[in-house]
Amino acid sequence: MCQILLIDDMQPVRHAIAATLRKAGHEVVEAEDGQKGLDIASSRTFDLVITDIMMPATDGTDVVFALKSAPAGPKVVAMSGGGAGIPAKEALHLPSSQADAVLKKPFTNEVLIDTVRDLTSS
Amino acid sequence: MPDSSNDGYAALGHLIKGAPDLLKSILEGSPDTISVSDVSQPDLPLTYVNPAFTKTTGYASDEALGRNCRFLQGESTNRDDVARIRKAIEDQKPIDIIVLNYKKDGEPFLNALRMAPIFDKSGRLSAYLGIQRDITQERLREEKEKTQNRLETLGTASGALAHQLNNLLHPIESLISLHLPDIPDPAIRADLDMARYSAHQAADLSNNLLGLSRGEFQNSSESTHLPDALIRTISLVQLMLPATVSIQTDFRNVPADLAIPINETLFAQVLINIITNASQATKHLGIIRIELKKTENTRLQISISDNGPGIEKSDRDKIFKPFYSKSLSKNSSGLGLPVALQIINNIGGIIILSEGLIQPDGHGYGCMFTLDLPNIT
Repeated sequence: MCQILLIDDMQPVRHAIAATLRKAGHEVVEAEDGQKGLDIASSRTFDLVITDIMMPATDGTDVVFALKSAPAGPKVVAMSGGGAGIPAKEALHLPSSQADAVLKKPFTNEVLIDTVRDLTSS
Repeated sequence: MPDSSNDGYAALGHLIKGAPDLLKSILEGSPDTISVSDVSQPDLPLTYVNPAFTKTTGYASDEALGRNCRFLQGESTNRDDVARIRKAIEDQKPIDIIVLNYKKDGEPFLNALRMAPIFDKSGRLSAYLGIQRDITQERLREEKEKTQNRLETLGTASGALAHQLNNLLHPIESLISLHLPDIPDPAIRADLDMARYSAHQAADLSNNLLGLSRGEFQNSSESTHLPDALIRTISLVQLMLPATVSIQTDFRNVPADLAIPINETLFAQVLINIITNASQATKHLGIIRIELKKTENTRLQISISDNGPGIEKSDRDKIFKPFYSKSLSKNSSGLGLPVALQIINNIGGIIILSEGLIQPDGHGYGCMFTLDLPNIT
C-alpha cells in the first residue's frame, strides 16, 4: 500500500484514476490543480505523486520540477493526453527529463497499476 | 450607348497612319481569344477569330468562321448560362460569364467569356466582340486550395472535439473495467462489457481524429507516415459517408512506419476524393477495400477497390480530365479527380485504374484506383 497524491484538473478522469488506485489498495489524496497539489505535498509525505501536465494555474511541468528538485522527494509520474493542437509526446517532453515515469493518456487501468508497482516496489 | 466623342478614334487614327497594320497585329497577337461576330446576319456568324482562339479551342479559323459560336457548347454546358448570353445579345448589353465549353477534341474547358456589342461612331450596332480565356487550370488550383483549407479547419475542429471526448471516455472505460470483475451476474457483465467495448471504440476513433489536429493537417512537413495517416484519413472519411457502405482495410503485411513525400492534408484530400467516389459508385451500399503494400524498395501502393458498376476501359483516361465527371453527376464539381491526379503526379506518383472487387451479382467488377507512390522511408 502506498500513499499517492493525484493531481488532475478533470474531475471525472481524476475520479476514475483514484478509484483504480484505491481498489489496488493504495491510499489516494486528490488535488485539482498544480498549486493545490504542491501545497498538499509540502504538508505531508507521499510515496508517489501522479500529476497531469496541461492544467490551468500551476502546470504539471512545474509540479514535476518542484518535487524533483527537493532532496528525497517522492517518486513522480507525469501523465498527459496533450491538448488541442499539442500532442501528448510534446506535452510530456520536458517533464520526462525529471519524472520517474510518464503515462500517455488514455492508458488502461493495468498500465497504471503496473507503473505504480514498478516505481514503488524498489 | 457608348460615348464615341472621345479622342480615342483620333489616337487610333494617328496610330494607324504610323503603322497601318498595328491594330491587326494587336488582335492577332492577343493572348486572350478574340472573336468578332457579324450583326448584319440573323445568327451572328463569326467573321473573325484570332490565333489564340485556335490555340484554346482547337478549331482553325476556317472551321469557325461563318458559324455561330454556340458550336463550343456541349452536353454539360449550363442551359441557364446559354439563356443569359442570348438575353444579353437580345438586349444589346455586354455580358461577363463563365461557361463550360468544349474543344474540338471533345475536352471540356471552363471559358471566362466577355461579350459586348460594338457600336460605331454613329452609335449603330456594328459587331459583337467576344473575349475568352480558358480558366480551367485556375479553377483546379482554387479547388485544391479550397479543399485543403476545408480539411485544415476540419482537422482543427475535430481535434479539439476529440480531445474533450477523450477526457470523457477515459473514466467510462476505466471505471467499467475496474468494477466489471465484481459483477456476479454474467448477463450484466456481458452488458457492461459491451458498454466498455463501445467506449473503447469511441476512444480509438477519437484518437485517430486527434491525430488530424496534431499538426498533421497544418504543418508544412512534406512527408506523410503510413499506415497512421491512412488510418486517420479513413476514420475521417467514415464520418462523411453513410454507415451503409463498408470500408475494409488490410495493412497487415507492411512495416509499421512507411513514409511518402507529400503533405498529409494533400494526401488526405486525394484519399477522401477517391473513397467518396467509390462509395458513390456503389450508391453507398457496397464494399470498399483499402490496401497498402510495399511493391519494391523505392515504391509503395495504396489501392482503393469497390464493387460498384466499374468504369469502361474507354472512359478510364477521361475521368481524370476536368469537368468530365460533371456530366455523370450534377453534384460533382468535376474537378476532384483531376486535382487528385495533379497532386499525385507532383510527387512523382501515378494513379492506375483497373478492375476492382467482384460485383454483388457476380457478373462484373467494380473499380480499383491504385496510387503508386515513391517510398521515402
